[in-house]
Amino acid sequence: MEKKDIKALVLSNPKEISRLYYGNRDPFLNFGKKYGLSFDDLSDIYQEAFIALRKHAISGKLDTVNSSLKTYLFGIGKFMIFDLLKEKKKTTSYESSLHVTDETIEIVPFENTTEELTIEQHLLRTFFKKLGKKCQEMLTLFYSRGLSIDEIVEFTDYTSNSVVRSQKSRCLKTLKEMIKS
Amino acid sequence: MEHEELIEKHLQNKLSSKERLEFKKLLESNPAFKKEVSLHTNLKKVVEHEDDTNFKNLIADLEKNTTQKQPNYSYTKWLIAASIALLFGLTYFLNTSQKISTDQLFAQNFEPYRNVVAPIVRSDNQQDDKTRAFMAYEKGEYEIAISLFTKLYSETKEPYYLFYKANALLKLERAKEAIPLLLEHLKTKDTLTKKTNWYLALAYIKLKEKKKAKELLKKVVDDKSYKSKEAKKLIDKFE
Repeated sequence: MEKKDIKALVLSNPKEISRLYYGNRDPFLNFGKKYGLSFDDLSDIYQEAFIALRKHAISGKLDTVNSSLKTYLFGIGKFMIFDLLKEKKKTTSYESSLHVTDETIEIVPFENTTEELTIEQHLLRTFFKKLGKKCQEMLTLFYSRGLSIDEIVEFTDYTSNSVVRSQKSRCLKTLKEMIKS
Repeated sequence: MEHEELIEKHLQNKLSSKERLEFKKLLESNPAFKKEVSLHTNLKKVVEHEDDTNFKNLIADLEKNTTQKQPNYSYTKWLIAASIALLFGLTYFLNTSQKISTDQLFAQNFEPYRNVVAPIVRSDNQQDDKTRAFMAYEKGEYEIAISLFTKLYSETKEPYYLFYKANALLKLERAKEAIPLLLEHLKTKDTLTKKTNWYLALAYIKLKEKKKAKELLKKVVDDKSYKSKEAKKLIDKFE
């Protein structure tokens, strides 16, 4: 996959995300139509699939993927479509739709793992939300997006490695003080 | 290597095998280090959680905009106006037609449960509240019956008053008021409790809460007692 697409997903800049999201939406809805799902089902699936795609980008899974963003996204979507069809199996005949052939799109399995926060983590979350916007951004880049200090320098306005480091430790210090008090 | 850097690498899965060993050793031997690691691990979860939520919101917003994203403005305005009019028309039509059907279902199936508590003997001179209440109920004077049942329940706490009051309310198409009484009645265990689910289901039908109604009807069917045949028929009508 193209580096710039992965980067756009990881950084999740709303403008870039909007471009990628709208750019693939209609084609996906068209692609999904042949499985006999409703428009509402398909647009729900598209949203889920897009969210999953970003997760794969952040976890580094996409770095070794050869297919394009579109094909990969459709692959996740297709997995979800089959999942939903299986669920609906009792009420509708889904066998027929499984024979729809589109060898071009390879299914990409996706596991939905959303863990609930513990009580301790909930508390930490309230502290985190009290931090300034800069700090939240910095910690998000590091902890959630998995960017290294060097990458943060590369992708943001921070000028050097040491600036990033000192900013990050300042943020952590503020957070720890909140925990103590 | 500095502890901070070690934790950093651990969080990003970048420890070499040698560093992993050092990390493990520190974790076992140094409580302060362990505490620090736990804080960072928790923080990672929290920040990820927050980040996910924000991203989901962003996507939801983008999706919302798709309905408004129309290319040609001047005549799409009319198109939008027309679709809204159509939508209103349709929702009205759908709502009313749905109303008729649930109302019909209710009317076809509901009749107030007969008085089994205080059989009325015509020559009965004892005109106490209880007799008067059930007499009103039998005569179809539901308003009077309701106020007497209310009074009697507050005095005696006999659960069957809840049941009959709910029936009277249902007859007067006041399903919303009947539901809490029936739910309360379900918590008690008198001879009528087995019948409550059926009336509760009908109350939900009246309020168009088909899902809740269906669940209750299933219970009635499973119980194989009062009105289970009717309940089965009703479920079939829902399908």
